[in-house]
Amino acid sequence: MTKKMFINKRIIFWLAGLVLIYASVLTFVVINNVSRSPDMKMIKTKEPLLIEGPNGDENYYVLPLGTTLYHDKSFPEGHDRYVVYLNHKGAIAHDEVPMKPEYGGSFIDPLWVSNIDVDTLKEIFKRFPLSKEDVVSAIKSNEITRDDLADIIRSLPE
Amino acid sequence: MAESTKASGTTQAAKTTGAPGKTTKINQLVVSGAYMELLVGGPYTRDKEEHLFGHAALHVIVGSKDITYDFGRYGKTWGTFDSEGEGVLNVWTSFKAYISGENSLGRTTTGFVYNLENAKAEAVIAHFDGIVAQKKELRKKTATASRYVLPANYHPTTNNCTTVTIDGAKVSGKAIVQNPAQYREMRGLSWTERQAARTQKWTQDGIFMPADLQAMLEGNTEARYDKKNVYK
Repeated sequence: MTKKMFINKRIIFWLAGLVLIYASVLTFVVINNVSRSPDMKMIKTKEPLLIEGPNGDENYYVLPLGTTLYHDKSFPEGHDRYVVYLNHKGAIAHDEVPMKPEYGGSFIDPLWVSNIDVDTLKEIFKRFPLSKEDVVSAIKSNEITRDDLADIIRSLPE
Repeated sequence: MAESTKASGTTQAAKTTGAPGKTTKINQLVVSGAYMELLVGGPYTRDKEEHLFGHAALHVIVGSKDITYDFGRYGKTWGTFDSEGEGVLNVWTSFKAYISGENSLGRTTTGFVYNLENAKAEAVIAHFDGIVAQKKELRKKTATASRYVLPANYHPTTNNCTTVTIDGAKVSGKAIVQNPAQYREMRGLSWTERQAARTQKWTQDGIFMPADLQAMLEGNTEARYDKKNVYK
């Protein structure tokens, strides 16, 4: 009788332990999922942004206005990091990015985006055109003056 | 933007006297002296979130050169809380562009100015030229800055904005590091972050937080700064 009670107590103890572990894992998963995106501040861009190509690629790519950015983190260096969600169907030619042991389970390889200021706009006009709407939005958002515009036009190639 | 000029020594006056009875003509040429400025960016708040860590950079002026060296996690990051990453050095040729970016955060940047002989200022620039020469790649070049990926990765306590700034400033010969243990309080880190930092390797002086650097420069009696600029 005493032995049976001892065995029952052990079973209850182990069951309680398992329930506790399960509850902890569940809480972790729930908190993690809840804090993943709904807590990220979202902004919708009102101007096109230039995306720098990876690893010194000299081309510019445009992130269209109206893109929703999810604020991920602010760095002490003064810049912010955002997440952009993309849908895609089909195959993508790619290389695997290995998770090296020194990364400690987390590796982020961001691209830079920049506003279209006067100097950048001059460069862009030399290389490829934006749509009228993009240009108007950039001018409004960056407070580009009439004098700046005149200067840009004067600098355009013949 | 504040500008440091030396009133004596670098102010050269040339006086040309014409024939007797004619008008005397005075030409005055003002030349800005060489100096380095340790820039310490303070905390800032954005979207009700406080960012207490701070930032440091080194601004050097000599002759026609006006360069700001700004090191940080401007590339790939990894580890818990992105604590490590590629070591990226931004070399700004426009101080206005650098400081306006800092000011836009609502952050106050304090500039500790040390007047230097030209050769000393050139030595600081040569130190960074040597670092840049070892670069893995030039990742980006614009009209105002070049971004270099360096061989040594960013590390929060041994190779960050503050340690790179201190290493560069030391080349000037100014004893900017004085009684570091007295200022090693890890200002800007939470209690948890301090405990984590204590498990890491440190540099010899152990100053890796921008606010600790600022406190050390403020308290330095051996190499007192010549001027303090406040940018905000």
